[in-house]
Amino acid sequence: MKQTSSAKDIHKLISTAGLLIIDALVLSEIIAARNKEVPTLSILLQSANLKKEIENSWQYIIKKINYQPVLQIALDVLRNMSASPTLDKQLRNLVELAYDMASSRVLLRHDLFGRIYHRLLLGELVKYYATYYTSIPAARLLARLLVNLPSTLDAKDVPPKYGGEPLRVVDFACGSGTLLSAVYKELDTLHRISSERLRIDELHKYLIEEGLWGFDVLHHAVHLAATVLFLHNPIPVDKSKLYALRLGDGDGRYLGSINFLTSPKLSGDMVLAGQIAGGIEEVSV
Amino acid sequence: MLAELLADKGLRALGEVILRKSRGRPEPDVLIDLNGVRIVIEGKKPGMWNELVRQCEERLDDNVCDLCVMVEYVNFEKLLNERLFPDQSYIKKFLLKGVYNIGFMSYIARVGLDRWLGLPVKYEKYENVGFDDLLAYLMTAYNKVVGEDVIGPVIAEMKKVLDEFAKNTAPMVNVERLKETLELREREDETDE
Repeated sequence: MKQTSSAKDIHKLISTAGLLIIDALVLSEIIAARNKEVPTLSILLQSANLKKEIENSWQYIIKKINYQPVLQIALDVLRNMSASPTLDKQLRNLVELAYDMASSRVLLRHDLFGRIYHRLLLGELVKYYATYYTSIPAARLLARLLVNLPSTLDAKDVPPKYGGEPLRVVDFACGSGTLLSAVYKELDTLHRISSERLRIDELHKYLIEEGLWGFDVLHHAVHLAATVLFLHNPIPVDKSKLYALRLGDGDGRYLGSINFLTSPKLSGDMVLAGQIAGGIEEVSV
Repeated sequence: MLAELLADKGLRALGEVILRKSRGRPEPDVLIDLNGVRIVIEGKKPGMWNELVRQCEERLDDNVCDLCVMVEYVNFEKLLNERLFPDQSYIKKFLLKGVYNIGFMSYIARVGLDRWLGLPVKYEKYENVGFDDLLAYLMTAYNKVVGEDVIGPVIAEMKKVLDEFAKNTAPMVNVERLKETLELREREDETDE
């Protein structure tokens, strides 16, 4: 028998939905700066039917530009909410908050979404997912040790090399991306200090598209991780290596990253959302 | 040279210092990594304060550093007048006895906290200070950067807006459908126990 969610859990669930909407709004504002067909948040706020305009805008970005893995879940959340004057008023508050956040590039680099998500962890609703938030100081310490302890890591050029091979960092339970974000910051700093010729944008593109891998069984957490990484340097990227993985499915075949213990292949059926570009990929475990 | 002196005379007491000198524009003059906090020092001759401010804003917005130090060499002319080709030891002595107008701008000033706090956050400026004061102010600015929970007010405001959103929209949200959208599934108990 299914257990009924408590009022507190419902509150957390809807707050999390709101967080995903804010997150997607911030992202769409950044995309709007480079694409005149995408309305800015100021333009959206002028609309009489805000919900519909936001949905149209995100749909356009997904179809014509990209960012489907990041925007689709927020679009689905919004579509599942019934239109009403109350929702319209509340959405306006979210848009205004997103507007203030998006106007500070410096602010966006501080894992805001991860920190607020930590406060909203969904209690009973995610009890069986064993969610645990990695604190920012702990993530920073781990990342500093990983990047700065003596090793063959070389970040002078792009891609950074480890043992002569292009560097890849994998977090098998990445959640909202706190640890991957800390690793990003350390690699960025190391490149700035050691490189003869700075290639900051290329480094960002490599890290997002190839270098930083993340898996989790919570789709919305992966969505937040993708945004957190993208916002370090909001330039266009073509893909990411963040995947929401299946868990359960009746016969217990899917156990998220634990499946890599039996095979290092990331097969299409393991992935809950997003696509595996170029077929099956191999993951070093 | 100034960065090396700052490192030797005090910064190393705070932790590991890595210096990276400019290899040409648009890079900063000097980048110091102090325990993971990136500090840029930008120096100019007198009369170029506004250019220093603009440059520091750019460094912080471009994520080059967490703290930018603006240094205006007040008695720069004296250096030029006394020696046509000053050697390293002369420059070192000159810097240690130098007079500076200095400013510290951290990422905190660029976060736009005035939106959240209602108070303007400005950079700090000190005029006609000596080398020891420059070092002391720099160490204070570093401690402020690592010690302040600058994001706290933003998180509090986000929490407030999200609480209100959840409270007001709860009656019109289909919880089961939202759980499905977020792909959250609860375990189904096999018995009623």
